[in-house]
Amino acid sequence: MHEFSIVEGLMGIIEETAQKHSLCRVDLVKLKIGAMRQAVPEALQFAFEALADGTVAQGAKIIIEEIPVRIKCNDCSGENTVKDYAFFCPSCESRQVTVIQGKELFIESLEGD
Amino acid sequence: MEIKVIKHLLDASQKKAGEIRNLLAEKKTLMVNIIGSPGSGKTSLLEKTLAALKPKYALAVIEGDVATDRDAVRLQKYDVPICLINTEGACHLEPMSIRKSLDEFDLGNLDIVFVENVGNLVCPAEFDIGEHAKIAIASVAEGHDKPEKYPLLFNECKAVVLNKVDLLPYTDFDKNYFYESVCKLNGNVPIIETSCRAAQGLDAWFTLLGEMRAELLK
Repeated sequence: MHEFSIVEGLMGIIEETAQKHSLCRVDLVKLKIGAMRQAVPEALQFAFEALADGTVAQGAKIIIEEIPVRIKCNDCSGENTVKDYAFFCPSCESRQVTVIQGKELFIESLEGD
Repeated sequence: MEIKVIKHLLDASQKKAGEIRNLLAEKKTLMVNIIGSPGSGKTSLLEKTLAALKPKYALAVIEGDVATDRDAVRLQKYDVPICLINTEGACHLEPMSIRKSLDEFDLGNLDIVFVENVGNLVCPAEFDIGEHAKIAIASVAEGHDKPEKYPLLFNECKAVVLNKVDLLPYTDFDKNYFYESVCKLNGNVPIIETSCRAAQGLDAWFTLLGEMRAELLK
């Protein structure tokens, strides 16, 4: 959701990083997006193509790594990947769990010259 | 060459939410973010809450709507500070405008700030505004499948208010299904059944707010 807002944020970071490292162009951008963030990869791609046009990142490829949702059980400390939005521990069935992964919204790295 | 960046894409927004969180902690003011569909009963819940709790706590409201001041006007009669944010198209409140609104209040003398978010089960769940708790409000009239259809909100919230329970006899709302769906997403989150119209079930909501406030003051 709000892919344009997300990409606006991304473009700011790309431009700042490119300037800092004196890059003339950016070819590749790697993102890590948690599965719970409700971000649609195709919409991100579309927004990126629109907003990167005319910038140092024009034509850059975006690679989005979707991070699965993982929980840690507060009772047995078991860590598991959440399936089908079921937030309980499959080992001991406790409902006292903490989400430890799956809400990320990061730029991991970029490549350019 | 590859450059490691590792930065949040909504960095400015995250930082502002963090700033709000620190400010509220410093002033010992509880802020709850009430999120629900249009018509679920957010404003009605606030009407009942302001009437009941104003004698006990110093309250304020940040009222978010795309357009009009209708909800803010409804709350005016309770004589608490209200800051209205008309988003003019944005579907959720974001931390920049919340931070500006908090400047309008004498925060050091407030116990609880209620944020009535824009009517929407999707986007407000995505945006951290520095609140202590997101409260999901769903109503019987919307059907029992809303938690599973909008998992992020029901996973993130600290309480669920199920409103309009006086309509249960007139709908096909399956309470067991609703409870199981919520439980699957969010373990032991309290579900408080209310009817704002019939003034039912509200004591449990007021008690919860009191507990949240006590927790903050520890």
